[in-house]
Amino acid sequence: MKKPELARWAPPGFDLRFELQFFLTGLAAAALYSTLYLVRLAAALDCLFAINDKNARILLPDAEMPPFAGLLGDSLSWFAILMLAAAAFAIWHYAYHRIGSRSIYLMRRLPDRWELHRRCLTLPALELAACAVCAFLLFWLYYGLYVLLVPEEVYISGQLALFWR
Amino acid sequence: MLELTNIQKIYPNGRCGVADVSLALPRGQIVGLFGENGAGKTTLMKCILGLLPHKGTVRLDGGPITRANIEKLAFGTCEHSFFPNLTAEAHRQFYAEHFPHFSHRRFDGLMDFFALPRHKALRSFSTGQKNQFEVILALSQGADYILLDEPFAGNDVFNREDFYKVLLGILEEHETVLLSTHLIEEVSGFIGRAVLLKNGRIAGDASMEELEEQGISLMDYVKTTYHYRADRVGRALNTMTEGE
Repeated sequence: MKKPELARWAPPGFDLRFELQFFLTGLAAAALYSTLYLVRLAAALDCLFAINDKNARILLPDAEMPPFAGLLGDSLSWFAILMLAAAAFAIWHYAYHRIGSRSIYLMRRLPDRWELHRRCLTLPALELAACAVCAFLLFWLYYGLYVLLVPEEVYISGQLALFWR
Repeated sequence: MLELTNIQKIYPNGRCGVADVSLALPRGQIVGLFGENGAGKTTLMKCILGLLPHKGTVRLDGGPITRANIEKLAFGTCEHSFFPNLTAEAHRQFYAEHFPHFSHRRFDGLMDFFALPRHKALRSFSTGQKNQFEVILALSQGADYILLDEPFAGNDVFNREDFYKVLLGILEEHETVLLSTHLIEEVSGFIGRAVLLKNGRIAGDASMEELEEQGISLMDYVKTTYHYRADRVGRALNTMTEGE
């Protein structure tokens, strides 16, 4: 099977390396930053317990678990920033056709009216989608961990409703 | 036939680009489009190509210009419409992919004629080479109507001379060229018709045959149409050197 050529989905002659490096690094950094949630969750869980005389962990009688929304905080915010960067890349792709020449004249008179938009928007759209999917998956993973790890005694139901509020 | 009817372009700042231009370009003509800087030559071409919003209609072989027939129009501009980071060969592939009547034969012939490198990015070309390549693309696209806007800016006189000869030799009967240039005398033996623009309006439109019959050179026709004041140089010099 022929390998799909990424350059065919970008403006002709556009150097994709910077954009891809920026995006992949950004995606990794956003995922890494989101692990802040795990640190907060671990700390909050730790505060729920005390060690008794027999060296066993016991749930404190007045233990209170912070809500999921509070722990999640801004840990997924870097994905939103990366999504803004993807939108900026789309603008850059259009602007590219006016830098060094006016290749926009050629692109606008091609028989295929979508060629310009296909080449300018496909990669940013994929970047946006990748950000959204990663943020979505991490959100549910983190929510699942919260539900799984928080003891029933201190778990307050309706966490998602609280989150949206 | 490329028919322009009442083409009008007013820029947002209120400046008139072209005003009420009506023009018919039949197939097989080489038409010179002349005018001072700012007369509306480039604006008119961009209106024809749909690159600028405008009033009036442009009809191509009897119908409106759509995506189905836009390949019949080619455009070579001194602003350059190629991709600076691509090589000539990559442009060939791009054009062949998008323009079904792209002529590889003409492309190869003109690349050899101008001795342009095929595997170097266009950004490394000299200005003259860039202009030549722009013209090569416009002529190789396989279009019936070729719009060339100041294509020879930056080329030396020998190159231009040879190019006119080659162009005359390669153009087929169905091909029309609309050539905007300031090089009036140079193209006078090569064009079949002259259209003169002044302040966005057509100030003159004459075939070279008509001019020949009347015994007027193209340059004289242009000067008369633009009310060229031959004495202005002398008067200016007198003013500047008065009292010396």
